[in-house]
Amino acid sequence: MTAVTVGTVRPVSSSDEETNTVESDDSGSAERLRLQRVEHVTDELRELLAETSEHCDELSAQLAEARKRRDGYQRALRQLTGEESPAAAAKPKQKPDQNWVPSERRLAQVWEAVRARDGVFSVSETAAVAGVANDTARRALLALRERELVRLTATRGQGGGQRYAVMPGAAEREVNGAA
Amino acid sequence: VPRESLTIDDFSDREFLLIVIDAYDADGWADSQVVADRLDLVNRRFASSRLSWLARYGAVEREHRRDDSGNLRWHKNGQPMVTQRWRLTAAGETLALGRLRKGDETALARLKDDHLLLVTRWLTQRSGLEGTTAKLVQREWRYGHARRDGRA
Repeated sequence: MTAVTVGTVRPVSSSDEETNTVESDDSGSAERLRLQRVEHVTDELRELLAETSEHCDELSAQLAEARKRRDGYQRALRQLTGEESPAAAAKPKQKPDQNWVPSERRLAQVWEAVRARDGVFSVSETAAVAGVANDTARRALLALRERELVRLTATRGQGGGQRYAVMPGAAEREVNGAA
Repeated sequence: VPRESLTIDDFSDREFLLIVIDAYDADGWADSQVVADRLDLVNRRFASSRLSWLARYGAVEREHRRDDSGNLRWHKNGQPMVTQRWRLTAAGETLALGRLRKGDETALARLKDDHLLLVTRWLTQRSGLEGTTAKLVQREWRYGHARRDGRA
């Protein structure tokens, strides 16, 4: 073994060799010790991993069991109360029918509200008097127009909306056509 | 958006005639321009066209132009001069404002289905005859069916 110095080569002394031999022995045992420790820790980790995995499996089984019980209780509760399931509630709602016609009860309600009117009236006025939504009032007036109970007038409101009037002689008639 | 047409599906004859009444001036005539404006039509000729057809059916009549002495004025071809004012005839007023007598209504309401069929046949035979009222009956029938078919 040689030690390199600047410009010269110095021979290695015997004391240096001894020291190196001792160091070499020490580093070997330290390496073995380190490897043993690593192996030990690895074994411990493997055991912990196995235990934890087993614990996870148990918990998963318990969770599945608990969910199964919960779903059963929810189904039973919905059966009794008639509540909608969350899945059904989360479903995208169907597009409402654009051509729906108010029920006969609603038509009668709107007709009662306007049948005694003398002049013209708007959809919004009808809605306010009948206590229904504007869209319901508009559709109800269209249905009443089809039954010739109201008529579309040529008079328009301030907002340009169409205005209706009761058909002459229709005030005594009922929504179902009865006089 | 102003209307560019005026069909029987838009306004029945009855509704249209009631609008003509709405448009009456102090003399009891309705100018076709006023009717067109009230119906939001782009041009008075759409209202005049409907009025002309209703005049053929006997539901409305057109005002004749008169001189200062109140005499009718005539074209060289012998046709009377007319203005743009219209009003309902007696038949038109019946169509717009008339209603069945209570007794008739009650009798018709009591009809059973098979008798209703016979009455309908009788009505279609009668409305198939020539005549202004018959034509108005046909139009009333057509409008009624258009409504039920959801086209009006």
